[in-house]
Amino acid sequence: MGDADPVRFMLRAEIRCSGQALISSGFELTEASIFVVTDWRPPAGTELSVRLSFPTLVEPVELGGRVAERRVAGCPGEPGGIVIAFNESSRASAADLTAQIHELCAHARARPAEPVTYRVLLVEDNGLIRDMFTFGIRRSFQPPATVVIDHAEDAERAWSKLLDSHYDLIIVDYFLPSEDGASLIARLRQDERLTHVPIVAISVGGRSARDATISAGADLFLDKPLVLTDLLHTVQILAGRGNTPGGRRPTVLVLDDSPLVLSVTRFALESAGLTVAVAENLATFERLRVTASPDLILIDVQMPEAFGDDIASTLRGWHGVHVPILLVSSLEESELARRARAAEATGYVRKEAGMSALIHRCKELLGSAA
Amino acid sequence: MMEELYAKFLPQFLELARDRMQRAYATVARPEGAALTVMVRDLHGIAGEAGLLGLAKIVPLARSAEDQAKRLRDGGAGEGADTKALVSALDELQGAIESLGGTAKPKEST
Repeated sequence: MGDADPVRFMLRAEIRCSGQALISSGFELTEASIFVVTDWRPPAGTELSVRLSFPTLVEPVELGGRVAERRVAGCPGEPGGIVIAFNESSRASAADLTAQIHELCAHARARPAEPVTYRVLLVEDNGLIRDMFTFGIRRSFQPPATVVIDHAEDAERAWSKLLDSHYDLIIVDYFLPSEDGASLIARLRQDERLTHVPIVAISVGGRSARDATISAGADLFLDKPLVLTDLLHTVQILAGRGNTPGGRRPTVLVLDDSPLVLSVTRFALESAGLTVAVAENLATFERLRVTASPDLILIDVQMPEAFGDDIASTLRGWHGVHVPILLVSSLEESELARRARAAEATGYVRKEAGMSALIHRCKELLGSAA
Repeated sequence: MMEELYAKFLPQFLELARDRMQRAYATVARPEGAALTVMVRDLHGIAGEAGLLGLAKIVPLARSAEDQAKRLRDGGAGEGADTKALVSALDELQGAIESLGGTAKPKEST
């Protein structure tokens, strides 16, 4: 692969130059250069550094370079910006990054062995944009890989969906009725459950919208008109992680009536490389069980609505759930073991054994996928 | 990782535990059915959360208080001896919670 084979993938690009910093999107990555969308117009030859990343997919890579070309915005879909040529000392890192993304692209193109569902929430009040996106997604994805697009027309509806369901990507328009996209993004980023979900902000608002949404915590900002193919391609790559052994992080669904237990468990399991969905009540648990397709289910035993062993037993006997189920409780060991056996749960972990024991058991059950 | 968990979630644990202890003392002063059930659940919650956070000293004290609370609940109010034992267990637990004070380190039990 060489300069003539750029990667059609959006990256978060953080540029630093003489004490100034800007965050935008980078396209057309090669081992020699990248194009970054911006209305900043430094002279050709200006030296700078650029940090490239993408949440959940690409760890940040810092590269040095200089401005090689300035592009003026052309017709819709041809944004203006600068082409950064990497320094000799950064070429090897750029080549590694390019190879990594090409590999991700190849996995995304491969037909998945098993059904993969990728969930996107599009927060957009314009019906036509929503339809375009949905149509594009339907054309781009072939079964058994599927992308489910959920829509919300405003921040409040989005918030309520986000509390109830798990999403792999959130796309937020800046101009929304009543509450703007930046304010919604700030809210999302303050919620521990949503910290790790990639957020792409979109708008016709130019620099002010970009600054507001990026400052609020968006990972990427795209100017409208959207280059829909680039966005779809990026979604495809994100979804394609499921094609690779170890590429898709296994999902653990946790049901416990204690918000603190849920926060602690989420933090620890995510730190261990797992995706975590949490439910504080049965209604949320049931929704997440269907939408998040968990690979492992952890259930507390003593809860106000129902006993965890009765829930496990119903999942096995009535719903035909085959994924491993662990009862997690501070009950006496003999009592917990008896309940786990009777419910046909895979096993149990006592809370007193601590988080390390819980992580160990989860990884044991998830095998190489974890 | 346990130290990170401890640093991040100890303040929340303490806040919740203090609320629950306050409620437990109020229940002991005026024991009645529903409040006793809530107290049992609260003490059970402290034990579980402390376990996951590696607060090994708290867990047996919370479990002991939970057992005493169950006895009082199942034996009915007005059992003087049970109330005394529960208050004693609560006092011990309260002391251990307050001694955490942000300086003790977690100890993972195995």
